[in-house]
Amino acid sequence: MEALVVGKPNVGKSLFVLNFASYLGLREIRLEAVGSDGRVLVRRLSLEDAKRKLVSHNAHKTMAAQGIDVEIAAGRTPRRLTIVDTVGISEGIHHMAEIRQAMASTLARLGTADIVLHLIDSSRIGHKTIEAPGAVDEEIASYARQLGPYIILANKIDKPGSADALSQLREHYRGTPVIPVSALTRRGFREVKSFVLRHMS
Amino acid sequence: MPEPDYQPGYSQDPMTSREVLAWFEAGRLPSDGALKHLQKLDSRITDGRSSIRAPSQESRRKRIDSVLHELDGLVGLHDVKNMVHEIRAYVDVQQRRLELGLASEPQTLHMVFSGAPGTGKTTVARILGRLFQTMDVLPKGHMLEVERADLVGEYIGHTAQKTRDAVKRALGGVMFVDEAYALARGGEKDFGKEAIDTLVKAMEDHRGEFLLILAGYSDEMAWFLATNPGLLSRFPLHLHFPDYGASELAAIARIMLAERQYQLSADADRQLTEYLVRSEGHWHVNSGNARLVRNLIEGAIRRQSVRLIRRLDMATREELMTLTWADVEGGL
Ligand SMILES: Nc1nc2c(ncn2[C@@H]2O[C@H](COP(=O)(O)OP(=O)(O)O)[C@@H](O)[C@H]2O)c(=O)[nH]1
Ligand SMILES: [Mg+2]
Repeated sequence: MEALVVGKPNVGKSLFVLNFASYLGLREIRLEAVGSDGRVLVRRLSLEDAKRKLVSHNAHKTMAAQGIDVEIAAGRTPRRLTIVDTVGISEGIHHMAEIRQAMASTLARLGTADIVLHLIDSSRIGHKTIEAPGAVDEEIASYARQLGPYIILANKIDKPGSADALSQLREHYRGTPVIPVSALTRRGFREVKSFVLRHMS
Repeated sequence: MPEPDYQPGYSQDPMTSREVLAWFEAGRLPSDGALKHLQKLDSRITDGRSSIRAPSQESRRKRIDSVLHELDGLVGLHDVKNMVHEIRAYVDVQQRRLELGLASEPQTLHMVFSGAPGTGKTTVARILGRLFQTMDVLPKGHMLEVERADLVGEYIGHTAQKTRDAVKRALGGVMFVDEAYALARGGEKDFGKEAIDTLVKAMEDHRGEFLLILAGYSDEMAWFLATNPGLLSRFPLHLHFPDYGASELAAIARIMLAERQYQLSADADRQLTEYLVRSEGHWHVNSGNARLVRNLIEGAIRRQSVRLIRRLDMATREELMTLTWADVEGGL
């Protein structure tokens, strides 16, 4: 079972994936990344090291999809869930071929994911920064909601002004569940877990 | 090594998800546009909603038909054409089965083309590349034409590297190895053996990522495959390109002339056909093919020039276009 975490750059995907995996009980992160030559690289890292590697203020710190396997108790039998952190999708046409290629792999994976978790930076509505909600979010929503289990995670809800932002997002994406989360404080993780569990059978 | 002659079409909308991603990577589509197209083309969504899917399916069909039309326009090659139509039907059905979740045969479509030079092998290989591209079997559909010298190196290890490089350039399209039996020419110790082994390994490592066509004279290819039994099973499709018959050669001559804006006089046409019929079955290896015709008409064109040069100012348009039997006969 694969849960794909997507969204614009800098919305908090990497931090979410790592903290959510640790919330589900994972202590050591086993990162699997497919390099450009098609080989799968596996690294074992502590949660903290993984954060240093993958989380950043700068866009496109994550340059390849990263899968993290966790065991999750669904009913009586533990089941394997792979949470996949992806390369953020920016608006427009990126000027670097390398990044376009990395983003294309995210787009390709959308078509095969079992569950799609779409992160939006709720603290940046109406801004012009790279992580601000925009056309890319509209299109991800319109595509992913037709593919299968899909939710929007309104991230960075710990930041000021979030209540207003949440109601705006819910209004805008009516018909799709919008769960307020904070990748930083782990708020909302219980709801995300139960959403994932519901769709794991 | 000849360059791939693939020219991407920059006109319409992307036809397949794979194309969307390729265009996106090439910087031809913005992110939101790419997502829009992916949504439109995703079979998980559009299955059962044929209204959305119909246009792209229809234009895909059109593009396939236009490639096949080009194939059918080739002179002769009756059995080869039938075989290609069969392959097309097979691939289409397997793809449809896959979409509906039915077991589908893995598509290993590597081929052996046997026949003399100039019997249409390269032309058909090129058309196949384009056919498989429109059918979404190969992302690029270009053709890389290589021969022994392009694959075999001078020292140990060199050959594997050269062959791998060639494969890399062929990925996404067709690799056409002309006179492939030459790889086995030198026997066990020869580096050609290393090239064969590397190709076999590449077929495993890049399963489904390129189409390998081994081509050459019928007898030599039969010997080559017989002495390398491991190869035979990896090439499920064998297409034989027979030498052209007299009427086919005459038809090829007319087409080649028309392309060059020349024509045969009525007399020259009749005499050429008679000559070709008389010689049918008496060709020496290698001349019952399109190359013979090309040499013949190119010679005839030169002789016509010599004939006309003395009174060029008076020559009519008709005369400038027409080859007489004397022009042709001079080359026989
Ligand atoms: N306050 C706050 N900051 C966050 C949260 N999630 C991520 N960040 C910060 O946002 C920046 C981008 O995070 P990252 O995980 O690299 O984003 P990605 O590009 O989507 O993977 C980093 O500086 C994170 O520390 C959150 O829930 N709250
Ligand atoms: Mg990241």
